[in-house]
Amino acid sequence: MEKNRQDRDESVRFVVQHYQKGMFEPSKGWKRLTASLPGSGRVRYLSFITRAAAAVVLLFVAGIGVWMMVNRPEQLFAQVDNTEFTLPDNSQIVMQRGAKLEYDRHFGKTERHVSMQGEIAFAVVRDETRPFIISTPTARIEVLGTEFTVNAGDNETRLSVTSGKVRFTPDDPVIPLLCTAGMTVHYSANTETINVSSPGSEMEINGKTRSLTFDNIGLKEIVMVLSHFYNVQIELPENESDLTFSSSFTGKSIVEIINIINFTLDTNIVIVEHGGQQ
Amino acid sequence: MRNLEKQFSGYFHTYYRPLCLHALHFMGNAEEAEDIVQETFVNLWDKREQLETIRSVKSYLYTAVRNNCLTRIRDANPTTSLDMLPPDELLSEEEQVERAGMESCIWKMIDELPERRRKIFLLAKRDGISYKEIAEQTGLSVKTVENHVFRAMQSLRTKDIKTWLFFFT
Repeated sequence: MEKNRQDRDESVRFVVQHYQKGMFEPSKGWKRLTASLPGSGRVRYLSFITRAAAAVVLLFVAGIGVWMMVNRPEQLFAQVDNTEFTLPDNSQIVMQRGAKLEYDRHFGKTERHVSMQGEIAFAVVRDETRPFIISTPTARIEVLGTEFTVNAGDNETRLSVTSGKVRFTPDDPVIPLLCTAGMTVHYSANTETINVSSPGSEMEINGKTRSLTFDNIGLKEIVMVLSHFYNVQIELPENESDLTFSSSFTGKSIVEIINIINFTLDTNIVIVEHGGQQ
Repeated sequence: MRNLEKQFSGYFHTYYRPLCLHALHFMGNAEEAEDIVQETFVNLWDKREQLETIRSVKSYLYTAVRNNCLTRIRDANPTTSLDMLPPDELLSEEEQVERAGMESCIWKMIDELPERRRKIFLLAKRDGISYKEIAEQTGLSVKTVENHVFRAMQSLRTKDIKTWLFFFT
């Protein structure tokens, strides 16, 4: 008994000597641990520690159908169709069931960047100083302010523009496409196919078979596509940029294509500079 | 899988603090002690599939923490022989485990002291500041300061600790 008493005093002395408020706290230690677990630390943390908390939160926002995970980056996940949400810049989004959207705390500082998957409609608040950029698993979409819908899977991205202008850039081949109201873009990463269509016109770019199809597409747009597809610089006389063109090319060289266009439309398009490969 | 995670989380929350105190005896530094316990749990997480096959997870953890401490000390100071370690280790392993449990309990009791009392108590006992100086700093009378320290000490020595130990270690 006397020894116990002594041990106890010794222990009290030891603990007091090292005591720091908040240290050795299991809940804090747990947070730190789950953040550092190899691989999917954070996800695991969300999946089993906050499961209870999330369940509670879910009850509250079930009506909205979105639950935001507490940790940055903000992650939105739509449980039901037509889930509405307002981003920090007041842009509105409507998410379809299963859609995911993520943005980090730098959102809106110099640009408004989000990553997404699934189907989401955007009504982006116009702000020319801070472009709104969307990354999907296969493409990048830039806008200043407009309305459009994106549907992004693992291997494809679809875009349809309701109003305004959107720049859509698939990952491969990298061709920035300027899309306006009424246009839809479908990009499939597997086949490297980009299809752009709007009422009355259509364009298809296939990076694998190296084929191009234009149906009633403006020359300006065609020249833009060709210059990226063939990595060359092409000059289109100002007064010819409103003309449209229809044709289909497979395995043709850029010189051949330009010759065909010039021959058909009696235009004066010239290749200014060859880039790397043809 | 889900079950394993639950089990793992259970071990963590039960043994985290005692293990930190166990490590503190080797390392003498709270931050380092905590690092080692974290590291130990990361290793256990990697082996979680074998959790069922560990006969006593508790002893496993204590032993692992001790070994990790010794490794770290050796690596930091390659010329020290392990015989030179703190004489502390006259205690048997069992006694060490028991001590860690008790100290974890004391730590928690300090956490739970009323804030003002805890501050005064730590100033006096940890930082070695005299009652008189504390009284001046806090604007309390020396008598009151003394009283706070005494009461704090008393709660840390309470008998409850036995019951507590019985359940939690």
